[in-house]
Amino acid sequence: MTRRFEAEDDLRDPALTALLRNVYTNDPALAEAPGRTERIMRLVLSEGVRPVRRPSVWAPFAWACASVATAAAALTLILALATPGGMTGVLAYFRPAPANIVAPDSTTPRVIAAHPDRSVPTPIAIHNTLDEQPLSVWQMENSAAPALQKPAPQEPAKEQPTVIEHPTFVAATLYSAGKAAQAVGDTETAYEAYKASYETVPTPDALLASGDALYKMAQESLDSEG
Amino acid sequence: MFASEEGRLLDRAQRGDVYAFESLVKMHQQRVFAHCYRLLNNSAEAEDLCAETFLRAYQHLGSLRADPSIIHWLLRVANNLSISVLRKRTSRPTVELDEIHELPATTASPEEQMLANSRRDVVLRCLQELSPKERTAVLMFYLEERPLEEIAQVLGCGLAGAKSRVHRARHRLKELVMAEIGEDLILPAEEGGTP
Repeated sequence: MTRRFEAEDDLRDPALTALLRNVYTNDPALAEAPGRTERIMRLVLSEGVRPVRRPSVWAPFAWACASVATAAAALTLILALATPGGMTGVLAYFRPAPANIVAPDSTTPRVIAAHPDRSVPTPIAIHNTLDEQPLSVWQMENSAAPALQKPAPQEPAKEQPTVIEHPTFVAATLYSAGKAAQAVGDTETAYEAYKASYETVPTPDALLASGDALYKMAQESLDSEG
Repeated sequence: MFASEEGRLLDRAQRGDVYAFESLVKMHQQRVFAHCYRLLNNSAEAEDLCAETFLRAYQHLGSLRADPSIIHWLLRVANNLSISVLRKRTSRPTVELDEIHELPATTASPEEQMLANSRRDVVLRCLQELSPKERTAVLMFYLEERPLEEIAQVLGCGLAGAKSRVHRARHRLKELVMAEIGEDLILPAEEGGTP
């Protein structure tokens, strides 16, 4: 404490103090200004309340964007967890099927139209993997589905026409046949064709599964073609 | 006694008593104004900054403490505001002599009066050459004879920093005065005999 006062005393300079006091003699700053307190209080009372900061215009937009992005990310994550194959499976679900890969046999509608009492052809059992069970859509009535059987070595079908016996394709073909029969006035045939078409693919799940299977089948055919 | 009175007023003001705050303004406005004026040499700007200082005090009333006195907080705010104004003065690097009032009527001869005026202008110009913080240190320590602790609080530095700033500012002022008029106005004690 004493050292501090000594330091202050060392710094004191009476000559400089006197000079500065002389310079500021009759300084208006030292005179009492009338009304200054009132002016200050007027300012304080008019502007003393701190203004509330207005929210930004972009804040709701930013919040909305952030919410949508978060929801999309969460949905994608859930889908990836729930879908076999993870993100690859999710992406494959959204990927459009290649067009004109499987060309329908042009003779099929005519065959079905000519023989409306003919039973629905047996579809080919398709395995997603070797260990998986075949899809339920293939287990249809009146069809001997070789689902759990090991596929026999196929002989080269040279003279046989390529008929794609896929439920979706068959259902579409039957539907077309029904429409054609209806157009020519054969209502009985049309009814039978429509009925068979519906029975081929009875549920939306089956429809989706058949679409997926069709896509895989098309891919396999593409792969085999090289 | 004064400190407790100030503390009582501050406590009442913090509870919403506007008259108590007005009493605090009355108590300290002169010193705050003088501080701004000596730094700026402009009474209109000093008035504005004085009002702005008390406005900020009112807005931060809840955080003010009367220990040891709110004048230190007020002077620090006033000092910072004055420095901001000085930094904006890019087009006016020299002292405004219009603000310096005329000498009081004395019995001195016109020649003596002119010489005194000239010396005052020189000192004021040299003070303006100092940095704002150095000017604050010199004016508070030598003109107002405030302790170093108070200067340190106003400048927002430590005791050693305040001391070195006062020391440096004094030497710089002395050099500037010597360069201006070729004689040392500071050292001779007989020059500043009238406080």
